Amino acid sequence: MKVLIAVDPSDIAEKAFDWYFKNIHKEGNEVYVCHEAEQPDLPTVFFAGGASFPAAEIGRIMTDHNKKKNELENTYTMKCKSYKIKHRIDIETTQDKPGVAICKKAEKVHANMIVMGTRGMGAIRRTVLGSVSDYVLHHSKVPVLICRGQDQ
Amino acid sequence: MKVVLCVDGSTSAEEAFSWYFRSFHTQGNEVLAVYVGNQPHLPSFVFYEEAVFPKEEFQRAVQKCKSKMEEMKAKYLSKAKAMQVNCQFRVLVGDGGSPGETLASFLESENADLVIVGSRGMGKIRRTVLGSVSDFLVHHAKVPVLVFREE
Repeated sequence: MKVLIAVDPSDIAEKAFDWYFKNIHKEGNEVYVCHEAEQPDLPTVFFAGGASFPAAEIGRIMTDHNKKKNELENTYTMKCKSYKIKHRIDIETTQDKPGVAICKKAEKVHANMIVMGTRGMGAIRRTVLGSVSDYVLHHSKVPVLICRGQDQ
Repeated sequence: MKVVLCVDGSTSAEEAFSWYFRSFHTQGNEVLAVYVGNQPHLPSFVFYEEAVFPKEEFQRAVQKCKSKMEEMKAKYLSKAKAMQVNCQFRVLVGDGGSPGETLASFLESENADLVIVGSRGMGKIRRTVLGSVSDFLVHHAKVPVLVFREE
Protein backbone atom coordinates (compact mmCIF):
# COMPACT_ATOMS: atom_id res chain seq x y z
CA MET A 1 0.00 0.00 0.00
CA LYS A 2 1.28 3.45 -0.86
CA VAL A 3 0.82 5.96 1.95
CA LEU A 4 1.22 9.69 1.46
CA ILE A 5 2.13 11.46 4.71
CA ALA A 6 1.67 15.19 4.50
CA VAL A 7 3.99 16.98 6.91
CA ASP A 8 5.11 20.42 7.90
CA PRO A 9 7.64 21.62 10.48
CA SER A 10 5.15 21.31 13.35
CA ASP A 11 5.20 18.87 16.26
CA ILE A 12 1.78 17.60 15.31
CA ALA A 13 3.07 16.39 11.96
CA GLU A 14 5.92 14.56 13.64
CA LYS A 15 3.59 12.92 16.11
CA ALA A 16 1.26 11.88 13.28
CA PHE A 17 4.19 10.36 11.42
CA ASP A 18 5.37 8.48 14.52
CA TRP A 19 1.87 7.28 15.31
CA TYR A 20 1.45 6.01 11.77
CA PHE A 21 4.68 4.09 11.96
CA LYS A 22 3.98 2.65 15.39
CA ASN A 23 0.39 1.55 14.83
CA ILE A 24 -0.49 1.37 11.18
CA HIS A 25 2.60 0.74 9.12
CA LYS A 26 2.97 -2.64 7.57
CA GLU A 27 6.06 -4.22 6.04
CA GLY A 28 5.82 -3.56 2.34
CA ASN A 29 4.01 -0.25 2.65
CA GLU A 30 5.68 2.46 0.65
CA VAL A 31 5.74 5.80 2.42
CA TYR A 32 5.77 9.04 0.49
CA VAL A 33 6.48 12.04 2.70
CA CYS A 34 5.48 15.33 1.18
CA HIS A 35 5.40 18.94 2.13
CA GLU A 36 3.78 21.51 -0.06
CA ALA A 37 5.30 24.83 0.93
CA GLU A 38 3.50 27.91 -0.20
CA GLN A 39 5.45 30.36 -2.28
CA PRO A 40 6.79 32.86 0.29
CA ASP A 41 5.57 36.44 0.09
CA LEU A 42 8.20 38.39 -1.70
CA PRO A 43 8.26 42.15 -1.22
CA THR A 44 6.62 43.99 -4.05
CA VAL A 45 8.81 46.31 -5.95
CA PHE A 46 7.68 49.88 -6.08
CA PHE A 47 9.22 51.84 -8.88
CA ALA A 48 8.64 55.35 -7.57
CA GLY A 49 11.33 57.97 -7.34
CA GLY A 50 14.61 56.17 -7.14
CA ALA A 51 13.43 52.83 -5.76
CA SER A 52 16.00 50.12 -5.97
CA PHE A 53 15.30 46.44 -6.49
CA PRO A 54 15.28 44.87 -3.02
CA ALA A 55 17.60 42.11 -4.13
CA ALA A 56 19.12 41.59 -0.69
CA GLU A 57 15.77 41.19 0.99
CA ILE A 58 14.46 38.82 -1.63
CA GLY A 59 17.69 36.84 -1.42
CA ARG A 60 17.28 36.56 2.33
CA ILE A 61 13.69 35.40 2.12
CA MET A 62 14.46 32.74 -0.45
CA THR A 63 17.49 31.47 1.47
CA ASP A 64 15.44 31.24 4.63
CA HIS A 65 12.68 29.41 2.79
CA ASN A 66 15.08 26.94 1.25
CA LYS A 67 16.81 26.42 4.56
CA LYS A 68 13.51 25.44 6.19
CA LYS A 69 12.78 23.06 3.34
CA ASN A 70 16.15 21.38 3.74
CA GLU A 71 15.74 21.03 7.49
CA LEU A 72 12.38 19.39 6.98
CA GLU A 73 13.79 17.06 4.38
CA ASN A 74 16.62 16.06 6.68
CA THR A 75 14.34 15.46 9.65
CA TYR A 76 12.12 13.12 7.72
CA THR A 77 14.88 11.39 5.80
CA MET A 78 16.49 10.51 9.11
CA LYS A 79 13.21 9.32 10.57
CA CYS A 80 12.47 7.09 7.60
CA LYS A 81 15.96 5.65 7.64
CA SER A 82 15.86 4.93 11.34
CA TYR A 83 12.48 3.26 11.00
CA LYS A 84 13.81 1.43 7.96
CA ILE A 85 10.82 2.32 5.81
CA LYS A 86 10.75 2.17 2.04
CA HIS A 87 10.28 5.83 1.37
CA ARG A 88 10.46 8.87 -0.86
CA ILE A 89 10.61 12.43 0.36
CA ASP A 90 9.32 15.35 -1.65
CA ILE A 91 9.53 18.82 -0.19
CA GLU A 92 8.49 21.35 -2.76
CA THR A 93 7.25 24.87 -3.19
CA THR A 94 3.94 25.24 -4.88
CA GLN A 95 1.77 27.97 -6.31
CA ASP A 96 -1.36 26.14 -5.24
CA LYS A 97 -2.80 26.19 -1.78
CA PRO A 98 -1.26 23.36 0.30
CA GLY A 99 -4.53 21.39 0.48
CA VAL A 100 -4.93 21.43 -3.29
CA ALA A 101 -1.29 20.50 -3.82
CA ILE A 102 -1.53 17.57 -1.42
CA CYS A 103 -4.59 16.15 -3.17
CA LYS A 104 -2.87 16.54 -6.54
CA LYS A 105 0.24 14.83 -5.19
CA ALA A 106 -1.78 11.90 -3.85
CA GLU A 107 -3.30 11.39 -7.29
CA LYS A 108 0.01 11.79 -9.05
CA VAL A 109 1.80 9.14 -6.97
CA HIS A 110 -1.28 6.89 -6.82
CA ALA A 111 -1.36 6.95 -3.05
CA ASN A 112 -3.84 4.56 -1.42
CA MET A 113 -4.20 6.66 1.67
CA ILE A 114 -3.25 10.07 3.06
CA VAL A 115 -2.04 10.57 6.63
CA MET A 116 -1.88 13.97 8.23
CA GLY A 117 -2.17 15.81 11.53
CA THR A 118 -5.10 17.92 12.67
CA ARG A 119 -3.29 21.22 12.59
CA GLY A 120 0.04 22.60 11.60
CA MET A 121 1.70 25.94 11.71
CA GLY A 122 -1.35 28.13 11.54
CA ALA A 123 -1.53 30.99 14.00
CA ILE A 124 -5.26 30.65 14.60
CA ARG A 125 -5.74 27.92 17.16
CA ARG A 126 -9.47 28.33 17.67
CA THR A 127 -10.45 25.63 15.23
CA VAL A 128 -10.22 21.94 15.94
CA LEU A 129 -9.15 21.12 12.44
CA GLY A 130 -6.74 23.24 10.44
CA SER A 131 -7.57 24.53 6.99
CA VAL A 132 -5.28 22.17 5.12
CA SER A 133 -6.52 19.02 6.88
CA ASP A 134 -10.06 20.23 6.41
CA TYR A 135 -9.54 20.76 2.68
CA VAL A 136 -7.87 17.39 2.13
CA LEU A 137 -10.56 15.60 4.14
CA HIS A 138 -13.29 17.02 1.94
CA HIS A 139 -11.57 16.70 -1.42
CA SER A 140 -9.40 13.62 -1.29
CA LYS A 141 -10.35 10.72 -3.51
CA VAL A 142 -8.72 8.21 -1.18
CA PRO A 143 -9.11 7.44 2.55
CA VAL A 144 -7.66 10.11 4.85
CA LEU A 145 -6.31 9.40 8.33
CA ILE A 146 -6.41 12.42 10.60
CA CYS A 147 -4.02 11.85 13.49
CA ARG A 148 -5.02 13.66 16.59
CA GLY A 149 -2.35 13.99 19.26
CA GLN A 150 -3.12 12.40 22.62
CA ASP A 151 -2.95 15.70 24.41
CA GLN A 152 -5.34 17.56 22.11
CA MET B 1 -4.45 -1.58 19.06
CA LYS B 2 -8.19 -1.28 19.52
CA VAL B 3 -9.93 -0.34 16.30
CA VAL B 4 -13.56 0.74 16.06
CA LEU B 5 -15.20 0.36 12.67
CA CYS B 6 -18.43 2.30 12.30
CA VAL B 7 -20.94 0.49 10.18
CA ASP B 8 -24.44 1.14 8.97
CA GLY B 9 -26.53 -0.39 6.21
CA SER B 10 -24.62 1.27 3.39
CA THR B 11 -22.26 -0.29 0.87
CA SER B 12 -19.69 2.36 1.82
CA ALA B 13 -19.48 0.82 5.29
CA GLU B 14 -19.09 -2.67 3.81
CA GLU B 15 -16.25 -1.49 1.59
CA ALA B 16 -14.54 0.22 4.51
CA PHE B 17 -14.83 -3.00 6.49
CA SER B 18 -13.28 -5.11 3.71
CA TRP B 19 -10.61 -2.53 2.98
CA TYR B 20 -9.60 -2.38 6.62
CA PHE B 21 -9.08 -6.13 6.86
CA ARG B 22 -7.35 -6.34 3.51
CA SER B 23 -4.91 -3.45 3.82
CA PHE B 24 -4.64 -2.39 7.42
CA HIS B 25 -5.31 -5.13 9.88
CA THR B 26 -2.49 -6.68 11.83
CA GLN B 27 -2.68 -9.66 14.13
CA GLY B 28 -3.17 -8.37 17.60
CA ASN B 29 -5.55 -5.58 16.65
CA GLU B 30 -8.85 -5.85 18.45
CA VAL B 31 -11.63 -4.88 16.08
CA LEU B 32 -15.10 -3.75 17.07
CA ALA B 33 -17.68 -3.25 14.37
CA VAL B 34 -20.17 -0.81 15.83
CA TYR B 35 -23.67 -0.07 14.68
CA VAL B 36 -25.72 2.75 16.12
CA GLY B 37 -29.31 1.56 16.15
CA ASN B 38 -32.04 4.06 15.46
CA GLN B 39 -34.58 4.78 18.06
CA PRO B 40 -37.80 3.19 16.93
CA HIS B 41 -40.35 5.62 15.62
CA LEU B 42 -43.00 5.22 18.24
CA PRO B 43 -46.37 6.52 17.20
CA SER B 44 -47.63 9.34 19.34
CA PHE B 45 -51.09 9.08 20.69
CA VAL B 46 -53.63 11.46 22.05
CA PHE B 47 -55.76 10.87 25.09
CA TYR B 48 -59.06 11.64 23.51
CA GLU B 49 -62.32 10.15 24.61
CA GLU B 50 -61.86 6.50 23.86
CA ALA B 51 -58.17 6.50 22.99
CA VAL B 52 -56.59 3.11 22.99
CA PHE B 53 -52.92 2.63 23.74
CA PRO B 54 -51.42 1.58 20.38
CA LYS B 55 -49.75 -1.42 21.89
CA GLU B 56 -49.45 -3.40 18.67
CA GLU B 57 -47.96 -0.52 16.76
CA PHE B 58 -45.38 0.02 19.45
CA GLN B 59 -44.44 -3.61 19.40
CA ARG B 60 -44.15 -3.60 15.64
CA ALA B 61 -41.90 -0.54 15.65
CA VAL B 62 -39.61 -2.01 18.29
CA GLN B 63 -39.52 -5.33 16.50
CA LYS B 64 -38.52 -3.62 13.27
CA CYS B 65 -35.54 -1.99 14.97
CA LYS B 66 -34.53 -5.23 16.59
CA SER B 67 -34.61 -7.15 13.33
CA LYS B 68 -32.53 -4.44 11.63
CA MET B 69 -29.93 -4.84 14.36
CA GLU B 70 -29.93 -8.62 14.01
CA GLU B 71 -29.56 -8.25 10.26
CA MET B 72 -26.54 -5.96 10.62
CA LYS B 73 -24.95 -8.25 13.15
CA ALA B 74 -25.39 -11.33 10.98
CA LYS B 75 -24.08 -9.54 7.92
CA TYR B 76 -20.89 -8.33 9.51
CA LEU B 77 -20.11 -11.43 11.47
CA SER B 78 -20.46 -13.53 8.35
CA LYS B 79 -18.23 -11.13 6.42
CA ALA B 80 -15.62 -11.46 9.14
CA LYS B 81 -15.88 -15.21 9.02
CA ALA B 82 -15.53 -15.25 5.23
CA MET B 83 -12.38 -13.15 5.52
CA GLN B 84 -11.17 -15.39 8.33
CA VAL B 85 -10.70 -12.57 10.77
CA ASN B 86 -11.78 -11.97 14.29
CA CYS B 87 -14.19 -9.16 14.91
CA GLN B 88 -16.78 -8.26 17.55
CA PHE B 89 -20.08 -6.65 16.73
CA ARG B 90 -21.66 -4.12 19.03
CA VAL B 91 -24.91 -2.26 18.83
CA LEU B 92 -25.15 1.12 20.47
CA VAL B 93 -28.38 2.75 21.36
CA GLY B 94 -28.29 6.50 21.31
CA ASP B 95 -29.65 8.25 24.38
CA GLY B 96 -31.11 11.13 22.46
CA GLY B 97 -27.82 12.33 21.03
CA SER B 98 -26.85 12.11 17.40
CA PRO B 99 -25.10 8.94 16.14
CA GLY B 100 -21.85 10.94 16.09
CA GLU B 101 -22.17 11.85 19.75
CA THR B 102 -23.06 8.29 20.73
CA LEU B 103 -19.99 7.02 18.87
CA ALA B 104 -17.69 9.65 20.34
CA SER B 105 -18.60 8.71 23.90
CA PHE B 106 -18.33 5.02 23.06
CA LEU B 107 -14.79 5.62 21.79
CA GLU B 108 -13.88 7.21 25.09
CA SER B 109 -15.41 4.56 27.29
CA GLU B 110 -13.76 1.79 25.28
CA ASN B 111 -10.37 3.52 25.10
CA ALA B 112 -10.27 2.95 21.39
CA ASP B 113 -7.04 3.79 19.57
CA LEU B 114 -8.46 4.43 16.13
CA VAL B 115 -11.89 4.91 14.59
CA ILE B 116 -12.72 4.16 10.97
CA VAL B 117 -15.78 5.75 9.46
CA GLY B 118 -17.13 6.07 5.91
CA SER B 119 -17.38 9.45 4.29
CA ARG B 120 -21.12 9.06 3.83
CA GLY B 121 -23.70 6.52 4.81
CA MET B 122 -27.42 6.33 4.59
CA GLY B 123 -28.16 10.03 4.62
CA LYS B 124 -30.60 11.23 2.05
CA ILE B 125 -28.77 14.46 1.39
CA ARG B 126 -26.05 13.53 -1.05
CA ARG B 127 -24.89 17.05 -1.75
CA THR B 128 -22.44 17.11 1.10
CA VAL B 129 -19.06 15.56 0.63
CA LEU B 130 -18.75 14.49 4.23
CA GLY B 131 -21.67 13.03 6.13
CA SER B 132 -22.75 14.22 9.56
CA VAL B 133 -21.26 11.32 11.50
CA SER B 134 -17.81 11.43 9.90
CA ASP B 135 -17.82 15.20 10.19
CA PHE B 136 -18.71 15.05 13.88
CA LEU B 137 -16.07 12.42 14.64
CA VAL B 138 -13.31 14.24 12.83
CA HIS B 139 -13.99 17.33 14.90
CA HIS B 140 -14.79 15.76 18.24
CA ALA B 141 -13.20 12.35 18.60
CA LYS B 142 -10.16 12.31 20.85
CA VAL B 143 -8.44 9.65 18.79
CA PRO B 144 -7.16 9.45 15.21
CA VAL B 145 -9.97 9.19 12.67
CA LEU B 146 -9.70 7.45 9.35
CA VAL B 147 -12.30 8.65 6.89
CA PHE B 148 -12.76 6.00 4.29
CA ARG B 149 -13.57 6.94 0.74
CA GLU B 150 -14.53 4.38 -1.79
CA GLU B 151 -12.32 4.58 -4.87
